[in-house]
Amino acid sequence: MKDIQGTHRLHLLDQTLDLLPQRAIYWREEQTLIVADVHLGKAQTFQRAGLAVPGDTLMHDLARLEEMLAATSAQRLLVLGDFVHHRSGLTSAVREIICEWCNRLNTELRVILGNHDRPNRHFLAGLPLVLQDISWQCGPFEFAHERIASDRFCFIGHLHPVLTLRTLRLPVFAFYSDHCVLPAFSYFTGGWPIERSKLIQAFVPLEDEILVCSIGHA
Amino acid sequence: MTRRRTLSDTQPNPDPWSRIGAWFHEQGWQPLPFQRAAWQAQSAGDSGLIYVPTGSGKTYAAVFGAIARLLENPEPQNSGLMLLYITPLRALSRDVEKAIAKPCVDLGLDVRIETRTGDTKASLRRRQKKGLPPILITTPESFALLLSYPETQEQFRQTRFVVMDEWHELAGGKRGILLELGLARLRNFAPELQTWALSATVADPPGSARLAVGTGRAPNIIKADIHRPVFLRSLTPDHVDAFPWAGHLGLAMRDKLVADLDIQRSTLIFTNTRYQAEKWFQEILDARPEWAGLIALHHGSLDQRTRDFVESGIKSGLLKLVVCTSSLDLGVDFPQVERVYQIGSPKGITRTMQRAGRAHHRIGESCEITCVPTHALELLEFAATRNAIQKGDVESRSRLQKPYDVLAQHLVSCAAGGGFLADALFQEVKTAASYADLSWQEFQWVLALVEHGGANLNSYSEYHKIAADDAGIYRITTMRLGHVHRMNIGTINSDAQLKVKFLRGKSLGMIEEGFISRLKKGDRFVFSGRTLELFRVEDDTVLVRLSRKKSHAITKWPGSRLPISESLSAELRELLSQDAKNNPSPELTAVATILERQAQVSAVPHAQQLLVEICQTREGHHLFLYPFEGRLVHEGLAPLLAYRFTQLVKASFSLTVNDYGIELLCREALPYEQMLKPELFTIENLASDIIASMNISNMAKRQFRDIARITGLVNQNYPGRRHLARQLQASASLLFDVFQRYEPENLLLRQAEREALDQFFEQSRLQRTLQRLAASQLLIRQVPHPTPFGFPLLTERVSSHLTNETIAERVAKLARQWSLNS
Repeated sequence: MKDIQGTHRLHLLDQTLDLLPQRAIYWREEQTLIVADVHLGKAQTFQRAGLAVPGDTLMHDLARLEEMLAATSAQRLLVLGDFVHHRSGLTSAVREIICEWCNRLNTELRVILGNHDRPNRHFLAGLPLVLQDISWQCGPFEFAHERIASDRFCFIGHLHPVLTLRTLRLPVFAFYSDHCVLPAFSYFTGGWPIERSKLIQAFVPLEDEILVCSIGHA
Repeated sequence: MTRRRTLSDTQPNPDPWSRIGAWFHEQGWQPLPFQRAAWQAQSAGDSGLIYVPTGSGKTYAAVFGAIARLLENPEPQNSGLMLLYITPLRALSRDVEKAIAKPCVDLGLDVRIETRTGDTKASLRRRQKKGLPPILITTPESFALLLSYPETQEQFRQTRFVVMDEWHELAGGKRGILLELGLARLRNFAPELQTWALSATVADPPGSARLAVGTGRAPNIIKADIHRPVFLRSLTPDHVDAFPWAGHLGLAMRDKLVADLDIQRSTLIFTNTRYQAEKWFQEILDARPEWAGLIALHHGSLDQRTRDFVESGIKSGLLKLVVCTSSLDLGVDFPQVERVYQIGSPKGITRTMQRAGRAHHRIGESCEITCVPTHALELLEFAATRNAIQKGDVESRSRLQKPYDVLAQHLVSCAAGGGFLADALFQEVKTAASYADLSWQEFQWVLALVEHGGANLNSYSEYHKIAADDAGIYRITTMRLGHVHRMNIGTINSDAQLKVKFLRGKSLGMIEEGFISRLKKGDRFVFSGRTLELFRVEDDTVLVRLSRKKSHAITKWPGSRLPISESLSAELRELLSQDAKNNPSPELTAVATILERQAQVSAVPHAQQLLVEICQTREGHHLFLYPFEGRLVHEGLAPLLAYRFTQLVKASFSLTVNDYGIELLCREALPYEQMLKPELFTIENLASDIIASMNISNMAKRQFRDIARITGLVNQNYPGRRHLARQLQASASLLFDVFQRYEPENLLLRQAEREALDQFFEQSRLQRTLQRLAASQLLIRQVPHPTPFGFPLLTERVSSHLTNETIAERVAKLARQWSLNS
């Protein structure tokens, strides 16, 4: 398997984690691709409300996921919540596209329910995927949408973490002593400045490389 | 309401104009020649522009034509809307209502005079929905709103007169352009409509008039033969040597200013930014604590109640001194104001005259403005401003050409307000002067944008805002979309604002989200005349406490840094050419030692020369150029020159600009003398060089914020369900990125780019500057250390963020050096 260009490899608790510039983590030992906050149908939500935003994000994000799955030969796609955005964006056309995509995948699709997913549980339950309510434990890790009490190292989403540099806002993988926050996978998402206290490591995914930030202490 | 029996009542069936003349006589007034000329033109059915200095009776010049017509009518109350009066400020509408009501009442005219603004009560709005009064006073936004209701079309049918006040403030900008489109619509509904615009002095009266009356008729331009000489006086420092040569906020003049103030005489002190207003207010209060209660602060971010209180305080005489920003530039009449000060350069001739005119609001008197410099070179700007005023120079305001975002919003309003046919609306839109050369293709693009969302129909499958029925009439598709559109009509641009409140709940005003986002808990900032400490940000509210410490570590607003205008730049260059000895203005005398030093170490350039200084310090190799053309042009010129240099030699520059010049700083020594040739300033390939040298994308992104708001992509107000509103939050910046990624050919992006080039760099002004520099004599000086002209640029560099590296390079560099402090 060839490495994706720009991957940054980390070792954590004896596990090999590849940070990918396309805003995902590939866990080699489990052959699992991990993303958070996909927000499918967000552009369509805007369109239904009369805001003319291009709807290409839907197909583009699904295609990106498919490409990464192929490139890594992953056996499982794990979504840390907010797979879909809002009921108003889940029109019949959009539902069809998502359904068709899920059915085409050869990999296991596991979705941990996020706050945006819960009102759309009925739709998600009809898709060929495994739904997890709060969290999922695997190996030495625990995976959730939002921060939970755990005795394992956690991977979460929900926060759409960004680093702010004067007027620039860059998505970031934020590592703390006991958890990691993934950046939002979809490009059509805003973000919130990360919590800097107790931050251990930060990685910025650019188009085709990962920037490693060094952390100083005052 | 009973009316007085007056002279004008005694004659049976008197002609309206003689009754009006008699009314004037009763007030002890004599109609002025320009007023008579205006009334004649109105009686003859003309439309046009009346331009006079403020406070000179222009309101009456504009409205008596309508009043005369109402007087002729036996049943004026049932005539429908006769006079529509549009004023840009809500606050002004109350004064206008009073001014119009007086003659109506005195002349026995029994008509409803109502206002319609954002403040109008719901009960009155409902009544107006059923029928508009004969005289309606409103704002441009409320007018646009009325046009978006289907029933208003019928109500506007009898409108005879529309008056636009303070037209110079609106003309050429997006607010004025939206109004032009609305007026074109109104003319369609009411073919007999006469349009009259009231304006302060403008550079191009025919152009301004054409914008007001549309392309359908020739405007009658009426000028008042009134002279209000403006005298500019500068406060000069006692010792120029101890005076800061640079710095944006020199408080060194504080004591001199305070000594010059007279608390017995009503005074306005203008500043250029809110931060300066806050700072100077505090400084004056510190120096004269006994004046507390007599002095106040006024700027756009303060709570409306506070602003109202200050405005009525000036009028009543309770408040004697107000430190303000451009918030008090417009119209509200302050006849009591006797003295006007300006801190820092007003950066423009028109603005200076306008502010001087705030004092002694009576016809015929001269006005004086006292300017307070915050650094030495500003004294030169004051002298140049005086010269320009004496010459009668007036800046011409830049005009936007057929902006798509405003048209898009107007189309939706028309769809909601009864519907439209594409062909007919196209013809109507073209009668608005700003869209006179709109092509059918462009109109189709914008219509497609509003109807389908974008060029690729597949990308917008869920978007349905307006649609045509079988007859081809475009209407809005759902009532809800109509509601949302109406809640967001207008073009007034504002950053996302947060409320500022004390913990105990007292509201202080509004502040930009961008500013607060840079602060953390405990940080101090100055606002509303107090030093505050940030406690917490909750949703859309910033909770603050009074800061007990009086520290100097106070976060500044970036504020809008106005550039010096083109006319003033030219005047400044002329001034430098003059010999101080032959022309002893007090300002030149005050800075004589500085100019002498500059001449000794380097040179003082004439208007036909371009001074270039080369200097080496510990920081590196500096190249200073002094085009004296204003910050905005320099912001375009600096990267352009850097780019052209790097075509000759590989180098990386740090760039700094101010109103006077440019600094390029490089680590390596470069053969500047060889590189400085006239070809450097060629206008060949200008457009492509600008695009190559600038991160146009970033500039366009800033412009896009405005456009996104006007087209409704970023809506601030939603009726009802708040949780849905939360799902629709996306910053304009994010939307820009999405468009760039998925639909780079989108019209709105193009408009953003065009506006960025035109407005930010005043592209044509940049071109004129290059032509001038190419023809200038180059004065190149090697200097041992930075000169008086160069020093301000050195200190400016700390806050500058221009470079000629790409964003990605900068990010990579910064990230590699980055220290994230816990």
